[in-house]
Amino acid sequence: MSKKTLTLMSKDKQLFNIEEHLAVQSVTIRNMVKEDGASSVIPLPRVDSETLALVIEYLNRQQAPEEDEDYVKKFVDERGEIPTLLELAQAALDLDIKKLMDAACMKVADLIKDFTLEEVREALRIENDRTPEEEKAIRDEFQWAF
Amino acid sequence: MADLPPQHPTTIENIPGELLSEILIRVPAKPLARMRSVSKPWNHLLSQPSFIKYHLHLSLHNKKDEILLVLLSGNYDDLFSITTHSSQSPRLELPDFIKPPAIPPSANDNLTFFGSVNGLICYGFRTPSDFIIQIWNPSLSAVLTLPPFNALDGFIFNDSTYELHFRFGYDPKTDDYKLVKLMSFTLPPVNDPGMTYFVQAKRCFTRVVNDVEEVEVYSMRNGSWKLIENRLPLHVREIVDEEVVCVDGQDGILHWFGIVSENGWLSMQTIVTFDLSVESFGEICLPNSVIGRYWDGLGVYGGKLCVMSFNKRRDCEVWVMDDYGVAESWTKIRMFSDFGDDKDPYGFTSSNKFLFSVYWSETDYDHLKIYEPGTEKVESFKTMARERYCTKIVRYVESLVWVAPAN
Repeated sequence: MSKKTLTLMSKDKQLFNIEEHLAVQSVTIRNMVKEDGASSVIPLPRVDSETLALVIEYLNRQQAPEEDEDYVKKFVDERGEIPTLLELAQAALDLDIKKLMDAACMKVADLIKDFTLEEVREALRIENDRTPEEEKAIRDEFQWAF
Repeated sequence: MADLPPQHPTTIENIPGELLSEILIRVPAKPLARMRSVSKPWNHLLSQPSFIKYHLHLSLHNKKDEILLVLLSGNYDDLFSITTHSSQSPRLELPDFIKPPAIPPSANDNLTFFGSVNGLICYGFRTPSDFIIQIWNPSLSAVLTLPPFNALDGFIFNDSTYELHFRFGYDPKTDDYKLVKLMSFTLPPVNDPGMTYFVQAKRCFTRVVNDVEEVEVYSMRNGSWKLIENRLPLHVREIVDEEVVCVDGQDGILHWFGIVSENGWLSMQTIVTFDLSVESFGEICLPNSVIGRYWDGLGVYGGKLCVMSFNKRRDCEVWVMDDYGVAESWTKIRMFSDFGDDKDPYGFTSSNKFLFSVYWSETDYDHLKIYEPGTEKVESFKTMARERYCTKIVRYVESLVWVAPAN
C-alpha cells in the first residue's frame, strides 16, 4: 500500500509533495487534514518556496528520536544567515512545528545577543525611532545594563 | 510543478510581534536589558510584565544547565564569598558571567546573605555607621539599596541585647518581593538547663531566633518598610534560621523550624510559616514520626516542601508534603541509608540533585557534595564553614525581574 501524499503550495505558487505522515508533524497541517481530508493542494500563502523547501527537508529527516535534538540544532546552524533563519522561524511558527521554531529562534537569539544596538537594528531591519536625548534618558534609567 | 516562475525570496521587513517575542524571550537577561534602547516598540515589549514573567519561566525551567551560587557570609580569608558550580562546566569562573556586587572592603567580614528568589539575591552588611541592605540581580548587574528600617527606641547596632534576622521571598499574589526582618533578644547561654541536648547541639551551628520583639516587612513594590503587629504562634518559643538551600519564595510563604516548649523542655516540633501576602505567621504540622527527632532540615523537593530527618539508625529520610498545608499528605519519598555522623543534609537543587556536607576533621571544614540521583554519582565541589547559617546555596537564574520602587 502506497503512503498517502500531500501537496503544499508556497506563496510563489510552487508545489511540493510530502508524505502525509511526515507533514502532520506540523500541527497546522494536521488540523487542516483533519478538517477536510486535504485531498487537494494545501496553500501556504505566507511561506516562500525557498523556506518551504527547507521546512520539507526538515520534515523528511530520518532521525532516531534520541538524535533529533542534535539534528535540529545542526539543521539551523547550517543556515546561519539571519534573514533565512527569520523566514524559517516564521514558517515554523505559522505551521506550528515546535522544535524547528524553538531551534530557529534560539539561533537568532544567540546571534544577536552580542550585537551592538546598531547591529541589532541592521540585522532585524529596525528603524531607530529615538532622538539622541531619548536615547540618553533610557541609558540613564537602565545604566546598569550598559 | 510550478506554473509561475519562482520569485526571489523576500526577507521579512517588519518582524511580526509574535515572532519577535519568540526570539527575544530566548536572549539572556543582560543583553535584553540593553536592547530596550533598540526602538520604542522594543522597549514597550521588553518592559511588559507578561514578557518578563515568561522570560523568567523559561529560565526557571531551563533544564540544560543548572548553575549554583554558593554564598558565604562572614570573613573567611581563604574562601571567596561567592563561588559557582555548573553541572555542564564545573570549572566555570564567577567573573566570566557575573560581576559580584561592590561591597565596601570594611564590610567584607560581616556580609550576610538573606536569600534568593527569581534571580534576585538579598544581603546585608554593616558599615561603621549603618546597616546596609541590598537587593541584587546578578544577570542585570542591578543593585537596589533599601531605605533604613525602623529600630526600637534606644537600639544601637553594636548592642548585644538584640539580634536581627532576615528572610527574603516572592509573593505571587501581589507580584512583590519582600524582606522580613525579625528583631529578637540575644540568646541565653547554650548551657541553659531547660534545653534538650539536640536543641543545644543545634545552637552551636545554627541561628535560633527567640522572643521576637519586632517584625518589619519591606516591600520592593512600595519601596518602604512596615511594622507588623503579628507575632509567632504563642506556644512557639523559638524558630531556627539555618536553611542552606533557599526554600523560600515561590509560593509566597516563608518556613522555619519551630521550637516548642513542652513540660519545661524545648523540642523541635513544628514548622512556622509567614505568608508574605497577608503578612502573618502560621504553622504547619511536621510528619508525626519526625516530631522531636534529633536533627532535621527543611527544603524543597520537586517544588514541594520537604523535611530531611534522621531516624534512630541514622538513615536520612526525606519527607515531602504532597498537598501543601495538609498534614496527612506527608510522604516519605526516599531514604539515604547509613548517613554518618559526619554528614549533614542541606537540600535539593531545582533538578532534584541532593546537596549535603561531609565534615573533615583534619581541616575542620565541611566539604560540600552534590549527589546526582540518575547516575548515583557524588561530586565534591566546595569547602565551607561549619556554621550552617554562614552558607547559602542558590540557583543562578537569568532574570529580567526588577521592581523599581515607587517614587
